[in-house]
Amino acid sequence: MSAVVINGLAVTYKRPGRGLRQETFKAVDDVSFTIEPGRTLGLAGESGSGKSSVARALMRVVEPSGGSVLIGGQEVTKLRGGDLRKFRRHMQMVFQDPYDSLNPRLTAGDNIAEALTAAGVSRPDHTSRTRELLDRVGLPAAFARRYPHQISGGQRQRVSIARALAVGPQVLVCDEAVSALDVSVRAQILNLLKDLQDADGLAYLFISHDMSTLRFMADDIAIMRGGRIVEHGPSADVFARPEHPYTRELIAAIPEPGAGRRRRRTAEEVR
Amino acid sequence: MTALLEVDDLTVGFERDGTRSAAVRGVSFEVAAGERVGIVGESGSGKSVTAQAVMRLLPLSAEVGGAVRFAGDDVLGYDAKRLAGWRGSDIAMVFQDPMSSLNPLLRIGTQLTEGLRRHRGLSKPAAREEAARLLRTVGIADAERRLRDYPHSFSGGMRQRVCIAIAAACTPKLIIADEPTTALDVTVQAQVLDLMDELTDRHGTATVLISHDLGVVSSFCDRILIMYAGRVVEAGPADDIIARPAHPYTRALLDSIPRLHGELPRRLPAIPGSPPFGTVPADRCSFADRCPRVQDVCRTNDPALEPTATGRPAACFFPLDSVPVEVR
Repeated sequence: MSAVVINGLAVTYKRPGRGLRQETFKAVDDVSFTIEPGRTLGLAGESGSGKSSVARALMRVVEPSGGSVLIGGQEVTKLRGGDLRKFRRHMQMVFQDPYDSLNPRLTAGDNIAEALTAAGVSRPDHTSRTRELLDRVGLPAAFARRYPHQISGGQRQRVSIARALAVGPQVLVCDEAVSALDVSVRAQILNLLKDLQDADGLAYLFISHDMSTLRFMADDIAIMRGGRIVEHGPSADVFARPEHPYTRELIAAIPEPGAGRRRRRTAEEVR
Repeated sequence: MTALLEVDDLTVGFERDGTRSAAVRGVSFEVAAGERVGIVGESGSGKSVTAQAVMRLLPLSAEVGGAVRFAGDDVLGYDAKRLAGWRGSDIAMVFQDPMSSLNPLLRIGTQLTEGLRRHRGLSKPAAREEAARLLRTVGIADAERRLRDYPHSFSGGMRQRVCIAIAAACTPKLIIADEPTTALDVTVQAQVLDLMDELTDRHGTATVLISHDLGVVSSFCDRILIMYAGRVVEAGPADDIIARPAHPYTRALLDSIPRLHGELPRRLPAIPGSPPFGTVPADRCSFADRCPRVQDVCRTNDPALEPTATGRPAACFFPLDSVPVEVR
């Protein structure tokens, strides 16, 4: 069974205004994809393309205005109250800036313990489970007592991954999860995410604007623009034979070290 | 000919809660007229502090040592009046976040004409005309009308174009750009780099481009400095550094970037640990704990920036030899 099946997803935001002046804005329009367990779908696009709105609709942070979302075979767009809370155990999210997404007034351990409470783990087991989770993300147990401001950015992102794993999810949504990290730390986190996926068979929705990171992470790629998917296929195909001009533009825009100097436009071209 | 900018053994220290931390520990480099120099480093490497020390933007609490000379003049000795005349006309800076470097309460036109009137002594109407021309050169259509707009009505990429227009307004001899494209989308990043290319080409402006992204820097700069923990650990022509890095840190940085071409590794060769933050011990190599080539001497002595077999200087006791890195 597929971990995620999305069909005709739409997200509409209301623009400010009342009555007849009320306008709506379609951020996501007829988006469909599936993710199998243990696989990664890479979602690329620029700011405003709707990729984060897709993630938020999956998580039910915003209400989809149309379409269906099946997580582990269960329709989640109609869930409410207790059922919605239960569903969130199957699906977790890792955000771009771990400094904003961790509670600064709680230690790393307490941040994780909050998620354990939500997962229904009994209190006496919290300490041992927290230690286990920190170990899985490669942090020493002593980190449980530190506050978010006392640890580095990479370590904070490890803590937020540990917190996401605390509820035992089947699907992990990573929204620009490594974009804010230093280059040397980014590789560690990408490797960690791959290892966790291999061990648990997690399905990833990996959102990034960086095509070279997506090439490394994703099995399949979907390119979004203006709320729609403009290209969708196996990663190897999309990179070898990008079909949509926008995909080609995204790939071409990445300056790779060693690719030499950018082509400087001649004076005639400038005018 | 003397260099346009000379930075000589620059040190910057901050004192907080009674402890002193060294953000920049003896950085020296030169920028010739019209040259493009890149400074690459991760957070905490001291690259931005170096730039702010050159621009004299650091708070009074910072202890700055060493020398900064611009066209032979001692910048660290400038008084307030001299500084105000120098910034904007001879040297200008572009920051990472164009929203916080533009004044949200003033129209774009006011911010663009401020420098023109002050440094070039233009009259109000002449400055306005020049400002519109500048907006057009950075690719903003309908310039006369847009001069009356506030920063919030521009997109991120547009705002950065406006910042570049302001920096270029008085055709300075040097522009320092600190992560100018980091907050922008990749396709917009390419446009902004194009624009900086054009403007600096046209006026022969020297540029110091500061970034964590080796790709961005190597695509724009003639020469690169690699900084780590407040020091320059390797320096040289951009293409040489990328093709055959001498310092293990440079090599590791290059390896840890996922590539668009070639075979896909199952795991990325990551650098263990994280960059040091706060106090860095002075009597050892600051990269020793993360370095694959570390030996005992690296933990008891701090290597100086010295020439290596590659012909370029690197601060390492065991630099990589001149065997070219295979192209992945």
